Amino acid sequence: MYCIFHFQPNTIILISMPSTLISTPTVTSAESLIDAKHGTKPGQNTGPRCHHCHDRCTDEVITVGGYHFCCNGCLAVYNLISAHDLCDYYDIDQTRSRASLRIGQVETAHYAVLDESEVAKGLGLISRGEEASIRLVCPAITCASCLFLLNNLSKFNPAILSSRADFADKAVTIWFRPDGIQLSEVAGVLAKLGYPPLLQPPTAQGQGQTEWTASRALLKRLGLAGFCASNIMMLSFPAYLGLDQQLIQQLQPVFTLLSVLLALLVVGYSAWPYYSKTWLNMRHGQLSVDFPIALAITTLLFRSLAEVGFQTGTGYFDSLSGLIFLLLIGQWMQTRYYEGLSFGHQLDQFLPFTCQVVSGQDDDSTPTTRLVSTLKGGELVLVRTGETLPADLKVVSAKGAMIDNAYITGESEAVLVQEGEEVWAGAKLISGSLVGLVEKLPQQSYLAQLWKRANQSADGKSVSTPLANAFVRWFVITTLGIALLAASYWLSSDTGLAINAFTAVLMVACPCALTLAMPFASGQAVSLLAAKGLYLKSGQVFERLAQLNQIVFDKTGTLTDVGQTDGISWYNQAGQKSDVPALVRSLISLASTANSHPALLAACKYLRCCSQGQDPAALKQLRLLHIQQLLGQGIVVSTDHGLFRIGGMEFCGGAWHGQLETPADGSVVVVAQEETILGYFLIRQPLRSDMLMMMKQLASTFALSVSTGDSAAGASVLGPIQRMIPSLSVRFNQKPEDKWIYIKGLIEAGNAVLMVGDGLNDGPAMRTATIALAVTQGGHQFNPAADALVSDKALVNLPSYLTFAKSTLRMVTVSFWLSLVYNAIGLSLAVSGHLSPMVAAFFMPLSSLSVVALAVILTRWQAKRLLSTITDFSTTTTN
Amino acid sequence: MEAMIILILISLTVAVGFLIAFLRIAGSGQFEDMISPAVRMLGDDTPPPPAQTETNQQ
Repeated sequence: MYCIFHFQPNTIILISMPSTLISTPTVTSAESLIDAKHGTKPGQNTGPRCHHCHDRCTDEVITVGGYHFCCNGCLAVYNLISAHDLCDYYDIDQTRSRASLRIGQVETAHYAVLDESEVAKGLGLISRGEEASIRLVCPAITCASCLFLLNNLSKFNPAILSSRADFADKAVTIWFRPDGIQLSEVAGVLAKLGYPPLLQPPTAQGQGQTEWTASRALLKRLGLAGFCASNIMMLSFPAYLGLDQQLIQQLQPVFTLLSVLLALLVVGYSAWPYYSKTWLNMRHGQLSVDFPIALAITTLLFRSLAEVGFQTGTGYFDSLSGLIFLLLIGQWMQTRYYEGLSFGHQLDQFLPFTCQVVSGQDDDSTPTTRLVSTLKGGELVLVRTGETLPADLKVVSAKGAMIDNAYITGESEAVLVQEGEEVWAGAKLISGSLVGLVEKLPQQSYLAQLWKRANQSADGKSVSTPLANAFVRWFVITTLGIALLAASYWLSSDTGLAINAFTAVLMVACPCALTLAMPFASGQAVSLLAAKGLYLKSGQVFERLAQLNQIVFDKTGTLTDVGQTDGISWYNQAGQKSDVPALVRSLISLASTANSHPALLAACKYLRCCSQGQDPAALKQLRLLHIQQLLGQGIVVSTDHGLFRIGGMEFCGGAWHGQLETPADGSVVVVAQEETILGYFLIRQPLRSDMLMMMKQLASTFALSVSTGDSAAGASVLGPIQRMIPSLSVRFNQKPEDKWIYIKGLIEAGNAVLMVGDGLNDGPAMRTATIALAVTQGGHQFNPAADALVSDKALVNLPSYLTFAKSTLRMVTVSFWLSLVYNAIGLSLAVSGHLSPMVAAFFMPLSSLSVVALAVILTRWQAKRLLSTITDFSTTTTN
Repeated sequence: MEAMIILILISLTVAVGFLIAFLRIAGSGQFEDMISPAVRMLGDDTPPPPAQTETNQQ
């Protein structure tokens, strides 16, 4: 009787399990870890934390109303938030650093295109009478405070009716009155708060939706399997427990009937993917891990149905549904990832959303703004300075147009474009303007071809690893061999027993070490590593992490330290090392807010450090009038104090009396006011000492190489590493395609390659590598084509991460042996033909669970042993 | 023992009801975003009421 009353609560518990089973990983962002306390030397990081972004105020400190701010951008957002009584923003999530919110200058001008009705429609604007709604993706959403602020957008403008932010999709849906506020203003409000929306067509956003659909389907299958497993278990208990015989005889037919129905449901719905995947792999001539699972499920089902049909027993329906439930939990664990980050990467993000179409190449023809997706071949497109080319164009007219092909070729020097030349989609126009005839549409462009090719080669990556494949083949052959032996042994004496033994072997032998222990261990490892600064896309990435044998570093920038302050110094007009004058200081800080030239940023960081303790009032108040970057030459800054040039010696011109030496490992940035040279910064790029140590550690286990787009001279900084590690191969002047071919060659030679890069301009190569590790530096809001993310400061821990992965995989092998022991016990019962349903019902889940528990415990132990020296990233303290 | 069978059927019916509810919820994506709804709920109460009236008056 008691079992009846257990139905309901038990079912509810199992139904709600998927949500509670998976503990939600803590929420941080890649950006937030960059300025977390880890990785910086003590003493260097003593400034107060900014009240708005929680970043350390390394340079200037603005103090308003008892709060400290690191920059004017943060102060502006604080003022905006406090003016609208939304200061709860700062109380909700106090522990998280929101460094991604640090904004230099808000550019809202390019949102103006949103007011064109066609563009707005293309972006997914839905109008209903006086109301309109739009969904915008804001990658800067990283914590609960962000959600709070974005849910209260209506406070900032009365015409915004309501807003709703979604953490999982990093999107905000806004309802507004189009007669009160324009769409461009809505986007502007978001940008001003530090959440600039991405301008993407909904199709690009929808790519993430397919992943959601898959995870929803898995969740449903899991729920149904849990429901069926728990109910079948309850229905089987009376028979196992040997209650009143008479009672059982009356009830058993009903119980069996219900069990059969539930089991058919669970096999037909929950276990269906195992069949479809097996079939798919068989057609490609491959054996996947799904095959033995599908075989075990089929055997369990048919043997149980046969037993019930011939009334020889009650069947193994409980074992069957329990097995499927456990397998699905394992599968669910495998999809675990770090929720604070989104890893999607679309080609569309690199191409513009809108473009200017002109009817003729004359100046007087007014361009019309069109969606790139509606572009047709043969149309004329006008591209202005700072814009990205939407399609492969044939240049019809060019006015001083210089384009930067960095994304396509890796060449960062800009090239002057002549009329009649062909230019590629994805290139950026640095200066001037051009009108081009559309040769190839974005989908057929050279960039898209490169992208597709890389995707094709990456297909093999998502499927199972070679190790798993070898195991499956071995497993299937052994299992079938034992089953046939057992059957042939009994065949002569007892046909029934022979069939029993044959099916029992297939039922008991489950590759649970591979299908359960590994997913649980890797799921565990994903969250353990996230706490230590390495963010993995999924548990599968962790499995691949353990198999690496070659590491390719993509850029020298990760190994050198541009921002290192002792590598930069100021020389005055006489060519002597001295303090930086106030005028230059204010000029640099002014220019760096508007321009992100690497040399400027380095100079700016240097100034922040050495100006600490100095009187801020000594800074000259400069007002920026205009700033222009001439790539490969320098920057022209026009202010109310005259025209300044920052860049190379020839660029700045003027008379120079001092001595100018350019060392091999450094570069010179000259600052000139009108025709007078004020002096120059000498910027050296010393190798990071911790990187040297890291490379040395890695070289003992891995084959290392550097493949960089830099010239031989630029890569000369690698000298010390090459001397230390003679086996290091360095490849210069590598275009993305060269890198891709190089990586592809390594992979085809049977290597497992880790590619370490910045993830932005090496999509193809990153996608081809076994694992692409993107190194994020401050302020990156991009979702790179990476399997894993690490901050530049945590990169030094790479040897620890890799050792952890390797030793964890060894530990999983231990649990794999345990499962073999269980399989041996189960098989010995099975071959003797005496596997009772009750034994199976207890034995099968028990063995699986103990294997999983062992794998998880061993993983945690390894983490404690190997990762405890790394500072915890998730517990960033405030002030 | 018909009572027992009826009870089992009733309990199963109730449980199936919960199962259907779960499948619908999972299908609508409620388990994907475990963070935003909680924050949204907090947000409704926390802003001080004067701020709202002020906005309405504008």
